[in-house]
Amino acid sequence: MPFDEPDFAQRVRERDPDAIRDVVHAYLSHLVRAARAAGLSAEEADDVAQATCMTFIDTAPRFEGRSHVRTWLFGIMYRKIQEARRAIKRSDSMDDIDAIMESRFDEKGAWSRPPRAVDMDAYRSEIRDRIGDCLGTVPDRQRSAFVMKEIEGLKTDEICNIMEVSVTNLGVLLHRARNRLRECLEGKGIRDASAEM
Amino acid sequence: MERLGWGRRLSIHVHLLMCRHCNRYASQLRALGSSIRVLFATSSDEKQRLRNLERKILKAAFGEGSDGAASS
Repeated sequence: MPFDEPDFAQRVRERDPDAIRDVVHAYLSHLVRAARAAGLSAEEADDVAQATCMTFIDTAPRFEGRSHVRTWLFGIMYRKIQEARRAIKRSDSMDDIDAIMESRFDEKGAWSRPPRAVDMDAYRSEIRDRIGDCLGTVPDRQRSAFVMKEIEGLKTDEICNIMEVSVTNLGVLLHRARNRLRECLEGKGIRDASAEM
Repeated sequence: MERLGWGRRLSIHVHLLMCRHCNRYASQLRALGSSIRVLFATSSDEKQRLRNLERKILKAAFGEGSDGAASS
């Protein structure tokens, strides 16, 4: 990839059109997809991705190449999405998903209410049908972390850098997002696997 | 898991082999991750829309004739 070449950061800083074009071409689809998965409409996602690319181009002279250009781009987009959501309704410090998960275990730490057995093929199919609704129940920061990790496949270090959180905090965000999605899917009546009952 | 030492990872794998509830929980989380990646894969309609958006961005940045967007 040209992004790994030694002179790439220099070319970006000089706003070399070929370097900028390569970056936009490689990552625009990722930015749009991540913005959609973060809960924006198609139109809003396009706007945020476009604004992210324009900010990237504007700030290119400051790109030092210490982080991957993908981290730089997702960092810009993460801040843009945060800006668009100034009125954050939920706090991540206390989260009812933790209480829900705790209620599934007894005082000895054993499952008191284990996950329902499901037919995995049906489960995957129902995930596709219902995940849109369930993603809407995940608080913004948890969803951003989940999207970057699970959909975009960013590395832990990159996400920590983008979201300015520690590895431990990121682990908590991901844990809560996954549990909330799993609980939501189960609550929406994912079918039992009769073979496993 | 990626940050845990090998001993801790091994003990988790052994636990998952023995505990069907945790195994079920882990399977559901894995299915969640893999299904969601498929769900958000880019469709062909989406690709055309992205090409147009890319042209728009490059035109705004570099002016007319700078949209080398549809190269692949």
